[in-house]
Amino acid sequence: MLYRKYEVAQTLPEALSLLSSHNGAVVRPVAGGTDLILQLHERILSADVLVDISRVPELRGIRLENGQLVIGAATTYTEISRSDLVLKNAFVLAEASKKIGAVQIQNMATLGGNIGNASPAADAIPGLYALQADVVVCGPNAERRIPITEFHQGYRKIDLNPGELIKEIRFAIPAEGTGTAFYKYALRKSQAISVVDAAVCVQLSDGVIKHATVALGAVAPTIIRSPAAESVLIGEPPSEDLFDRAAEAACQDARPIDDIRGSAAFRKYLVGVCTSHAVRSACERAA
Amino acid sequence: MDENNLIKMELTVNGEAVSMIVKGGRRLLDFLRDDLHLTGTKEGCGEGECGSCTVHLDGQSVLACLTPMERAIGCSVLTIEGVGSPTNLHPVQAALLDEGGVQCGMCTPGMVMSALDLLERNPDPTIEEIIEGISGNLCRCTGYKKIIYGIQQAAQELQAASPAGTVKESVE
Ligand SMILES: Cc1cc2nc3c(=O)[nH]c(=O)nc-3n(C[C@H](O)[C@H](O)[C@H](O)COP(=O)(O)OP(=O)(O)OC[C@H]3O[C@@H](n4cnc5c(N)ncnc54)[C@H](O)[C@@H]3O)c2cc1C
Ligand code: FES
Ligand code: FES
Repeated sequence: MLYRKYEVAQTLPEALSLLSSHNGAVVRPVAGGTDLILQLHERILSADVLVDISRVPELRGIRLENGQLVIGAATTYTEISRSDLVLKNAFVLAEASKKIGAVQIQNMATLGGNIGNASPAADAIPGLYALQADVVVCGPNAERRIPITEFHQGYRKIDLNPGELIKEIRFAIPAEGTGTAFYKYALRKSQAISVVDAAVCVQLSDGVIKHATVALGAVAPTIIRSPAAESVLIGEPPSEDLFDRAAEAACQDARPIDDIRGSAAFRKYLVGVCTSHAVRSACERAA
Repeated sequence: MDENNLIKMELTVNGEAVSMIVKGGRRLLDFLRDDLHLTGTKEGCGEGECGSCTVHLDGQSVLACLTPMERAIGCSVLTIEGVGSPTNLHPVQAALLDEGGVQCGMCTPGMVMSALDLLERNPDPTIEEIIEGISGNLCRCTGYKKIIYGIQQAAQELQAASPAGTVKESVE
């Protein structure tokens, strides 16, 4: 048995009360289950009770609200990659969603699950760093709103208390003239964990980069921004030479490790490759 | 909470209503194979990588090895047993045989379920789109080309049979 009891929440208040109503038991929320069921099956984790949050309406869907794009935590990658709002305003998230697992995983897995699982190679999170998104967390008594860069505190460590749920992601709609892009290097095209990836957001104004964010995945204990690459880009017109310099700068900010997917040296090299590809695509889309 | 964790599984499987009391806390894959004896759905890796456990849950392809069984309560599940029959194969199944896209057969049920999901959304896929559609399904035998051609052939046949409409799954 993977768990003793399965409860399906119909509303957010119900989900929160189910999470805290089992004294002494290990209770975990489950959205797509693509990380959690596997971890239970392989006995990496255990659980007494699973609270199914995949159908909670308050956690689902994508909407515009006061100039912000809001994505519910239990929204699937299939829904994100087909959303007109995302395609128009945050292409980087649609691009990343299409690169996660394959069709079946995209049908099941959710954005909130990627954030909750907090892998340093999580593919949806670099885009959220680049878009300077906030995570909205809700508990039995209150809601909190935390910048995603602070929400991920360390290796698989997030700012979430027992009994709390990730409710949604929010970010300001990027300004006119903004282009975004995600570039992932993995050992295969599908069903493969990123060796390195990069997400970029650039805003062009009169042919010059006015604003740039560069985020890197799988090169540090958490996703990171690359301030060095960002400062190289800002104030310059896009050119191949500039993309090379941004790539070099990004390598300085990366602190990769050796593992089965690649050595630290290979990863440093890939940071450059991923950064220059993502910056180039973002500039093309901004123009 | 029942000590034996007995639960009532009430759902539709391959068009038929199912209602039974079984042990909970397992994967949809275990319920289908061990309780319903629908062994067409295979366990290859048990970790989401190979796609041989692909079924449709309310019309979307999912992996039965990562789906908690209780999630299917009240839903409609389609497995390979609900697609065509030995004497009346679904065009996708017939085309896979025709093109030599079946060798040991381990991956075939999952491949067919992924192909149906693809053709349902995109009745006239390009080769690239077929490759993307089955990229979550591994095959150790065929080298994929014959599977890809089979799906392409099936798409053409289905298009010719219902040029304007979408592909309908034939549920037994
Ligand atoms: C074959 C395969 C391929 C994969 N490929 C990729 C890939 O290419 N890129 C990638 O980034 N990931 C990949 N993954 C990992 C996984 O699919 C993603 O991390 C996915 O986003 C997890 O979402 P989920 O809804 O399935 O999470 P779940 O498994 O339901 O949950 C994951 C964790 O987050 C918690 N949680 C879920 N929702 C919430 C919430 N709203 N609030 C608080 N906690 C919550 C759960 O309790 C659990 O601890 C892959 C997994 C598999 C099995
Ligand atoms: S058995 Fe489910 S994906 Fe391999
Ligand atoms: S036919 Fe043997 S695995 Fe595909």
